Amino acid sequence: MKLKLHLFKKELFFFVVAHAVGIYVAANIVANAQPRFLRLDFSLTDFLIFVLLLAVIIFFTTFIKTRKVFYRIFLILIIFLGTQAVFASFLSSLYSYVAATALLVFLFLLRSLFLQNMAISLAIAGIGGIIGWSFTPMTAIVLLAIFSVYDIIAVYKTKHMVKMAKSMVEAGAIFGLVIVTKKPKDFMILGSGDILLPLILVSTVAVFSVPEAMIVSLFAMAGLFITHLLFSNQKRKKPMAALPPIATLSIIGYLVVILL
Amino acid sequence: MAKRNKTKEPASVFWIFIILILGLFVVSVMFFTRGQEFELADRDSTLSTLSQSGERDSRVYTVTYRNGVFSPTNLRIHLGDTVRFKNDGLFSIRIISESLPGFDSVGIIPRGGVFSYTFSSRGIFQYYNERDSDETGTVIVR
Repeated sequence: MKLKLHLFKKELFFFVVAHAVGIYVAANIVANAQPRFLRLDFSLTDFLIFVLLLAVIIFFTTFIKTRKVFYRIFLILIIFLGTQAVFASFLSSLYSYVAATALLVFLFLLRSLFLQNMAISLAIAGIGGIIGWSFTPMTAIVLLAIFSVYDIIAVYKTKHMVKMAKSMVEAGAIFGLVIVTKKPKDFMILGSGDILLPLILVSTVAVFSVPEAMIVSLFAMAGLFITHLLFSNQKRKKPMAALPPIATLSIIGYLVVILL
Repeated sequence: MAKRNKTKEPASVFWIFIILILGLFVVSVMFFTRGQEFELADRDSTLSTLSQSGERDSRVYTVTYRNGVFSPTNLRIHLGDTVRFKNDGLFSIRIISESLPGFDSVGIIPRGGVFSYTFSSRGIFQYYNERDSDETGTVIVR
């Protein structure tokens, strides 16, 4: 069995960053937010409609010619909004926007892969922390289950996820962690949803207990390791649905937390 | 999705197995959370509730209302703890919470008066003064 721990360390580092900061964001909102801002009136149905629209947009953008521009704009928006949410946890509103803008400028100027992965991780943390704070654990679990099935269908059946990933690589706007395996041209991508969706569950728990959220996150990391092993030990290297093992272990983690 | 820059045909019954396991754990979570006391707070702020384990003694906290402000505005407590709402303002108040049935049945709290409530379910519970809905507070029950 190939372990390829040097690759897993890289994946794990950004995964930990996203989850740790996400927990901080969720816990911080609860500690400091004014009550009137607590709990968005955002139901599961609203979220599913939003996700469905997003999925339709993503599906069609794999076929339109201007998709590269679309992906770039979308990535910039995601990074800006996500990192602003993180910076707003410890900076004033104005400074958080300045910091998020500065990060984008650095990203554009330096074009560093590490910085890009870090920006994506922080963006995921901000978005996951906020969504998790406004959801219940059960909602997050249902989402994990739905998206796990979607991930498998999108990778193996319709294959539009694979096509979308290729388009993103061509556009230079990748919604995920880029892990270089050997040479710069040999890399793997861990999609942002594979980190974000378990983080939503972790953040729903962080609202009540940070240690319990860390336990769920540890299980998600175990799921990441299983995904890594499955991916590394394929006979032929091919795209793989990463979310199902991570989602399964995250849900097991939550089960452990509620039973302990 | 994890992707490598070389793509080929995949497929497997393995994923059906993974989804079955996933489904099994989702059902387990539903089962174990349903089996415990579950009080609805509101649609979005309800969490699975756990009956008191007895590891920790219940505590009493005081939220003071003065000059249009509930202090502490955000209070974190544990399941089974009691919160005393004390009116130190110049006028009487009435605390309303749409997420806690029975919470607003106490009526008006006169100046210097106290209203106590024991929280028996986890969740984030918002309340406000009926006379001014901007005067709000939150109790977070872990």
